[in-house]
Order: sequence, then structure tokens, then C-alpha cells
Amino acid sequence: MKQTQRNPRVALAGLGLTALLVAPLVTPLTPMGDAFITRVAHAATRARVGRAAWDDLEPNLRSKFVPVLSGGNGVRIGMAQVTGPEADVNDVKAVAELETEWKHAARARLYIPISDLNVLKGINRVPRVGVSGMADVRLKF
Amino acid sequence: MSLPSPVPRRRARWVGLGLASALALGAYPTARALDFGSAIKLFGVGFAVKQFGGQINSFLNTILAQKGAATKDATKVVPIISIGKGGYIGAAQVMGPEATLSTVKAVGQGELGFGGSTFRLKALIPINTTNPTKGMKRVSGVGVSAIIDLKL
Repeated sequence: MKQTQRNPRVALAGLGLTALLVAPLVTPLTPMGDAFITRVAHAATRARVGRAAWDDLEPNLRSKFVPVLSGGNGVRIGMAQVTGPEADVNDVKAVAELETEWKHAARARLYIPISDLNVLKGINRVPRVGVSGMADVRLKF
Repeated sequence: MSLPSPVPRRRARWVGLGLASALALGAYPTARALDFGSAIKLFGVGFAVKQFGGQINSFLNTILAQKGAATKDATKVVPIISIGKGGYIGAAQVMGPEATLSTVKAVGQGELGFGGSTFRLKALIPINTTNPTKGMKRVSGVGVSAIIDLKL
């Protein structure tokens, strides 16, 4: 069966453009945003999701918020919480988002933790790190 | 006065059995050819993800490899369950060490919006059950690598 996907050149160009334009603006805000979001997330998930959501994180694991660079349809500004071994999480600068479609039946958004914001040189994936949360701001014009 | 049966009872039994087998065998290819959309509509998201999760997982891994961003960890596709409301709301690809990954049964999603829904926060937690209302445990060391929106 035929499997479809978006044009990878367009997706990569979009990703690169987003990285160049958005990352310098968003990155300085992330330490402050991270602390705020993490605090809110803790409060919210304890109330709504239950203790199991956050309290079982192993001591050698760490999580932090980084900007999401999307390269699919349109450009959105969002943040992702990444979790993994402390040394690896420290390397993560952003999460690259790629969109693809499977047999016209499902749309997948792939999240790749990256250590280099310049994705035009290639995607530099940080191993052993996965996404554990998403946060986005809806921009009204 | 009873009329003699056109087909003897014993033969009728065999004919019935044959008809039932033919019907069952005829239905088999239809079930095999069930596509993803039909599987969701007929049997629900949980069944569709169980049936097609392997194919979606391979497809996503191929895409990642083509982009030079393949993961060295094991991956699999599991359903996303809304923790607040309950019920299946999509699918996610999770990644992590193989032994830990095998205990992941679903990804629990908790969502919170504030500031008039301007700010939206979503927690994605790999959990060890598909029924979080009966108690769940976070599977540590496993992360989400893709979110899959299902088209109905």
C-alpha cells in the first residue's frame, strides 16, 4: 500500500527557518518558563492526574522544558518537556517536530530532542531522551 | 400425515455445516482486509492500535531513519488514554529500554488550560495499564517520541 509523507525538503526548510527565527527569542525565556510551567504542571497533575504522574520519576532522571521547532504545516510556538538521564537532558536545546501521514488514516507528529538548533546541517538527536509533556500558547492576532 | 422430507435429516446437517464453514471462510478475507479507519469505527481505537500499531511503528522508524534521526532505543505504539475523562483519544509512539518498554500499556494524557485557554499544558505519561481508573503507575525511563492523531 502507498504510504504518503510531506515533502521532506519543505519540512526541513520550515524547520530551519523556525529554528533561526524563533529559537533566539524563545530560548532566553525557557529557564523562567520552565520553572513556572513545571510548578503549574506539578500542581495540576497532582490534583487532576494523580500522584503517579510525577512522583515516580527515578532520581537519576531529569526533566526540563525546551522550545518546539515545528517544520510541518505552518509555524507554531510551543514548548515540550523532555525527560531522560541528567547528562543527556542537559544536552537538549530544543525538540524538532516533523509531521507525516500514514496511509491517509493517521497523522503523526514526531518529536526529536536535538542538541543543535541549526537543523539545516542535519538533525542531531539526543539519545535516551523522550517527551513527557507539551505546552503551547495560542497566539491571537 | 407427515410429508417425507426432500433432504434426509443427516444430509441436511452436513449441508448446514458446509454452509456455515463457507460463510466463515468467506468472511475471513473481509476481516483480514479491514483497514485502519474501519477498525476504529467498528471495534474502537484500542483494537485498531493493537492491530496496526506494529505497522505504524515501523513506518515512523523508517521516516526517522530517512531523516537521520533514528533512535537506538526500542519503540512501540500504544493508545493514549485521557486520564481525566477516560477513554481512548489517540495513539503515541513511546521509546525506551526494551525491558522497561514492555511494561508500557498506554500513555496517559492529562490536560490543563488556563488564561481563557490561551495557555495549554499537556502531560504525557507512559503508564502500565489501559484502565487508569483502577490505579496506574508511571513507567519511568520511557518517553513519548511521536503523537498520532487518528482520522475517523
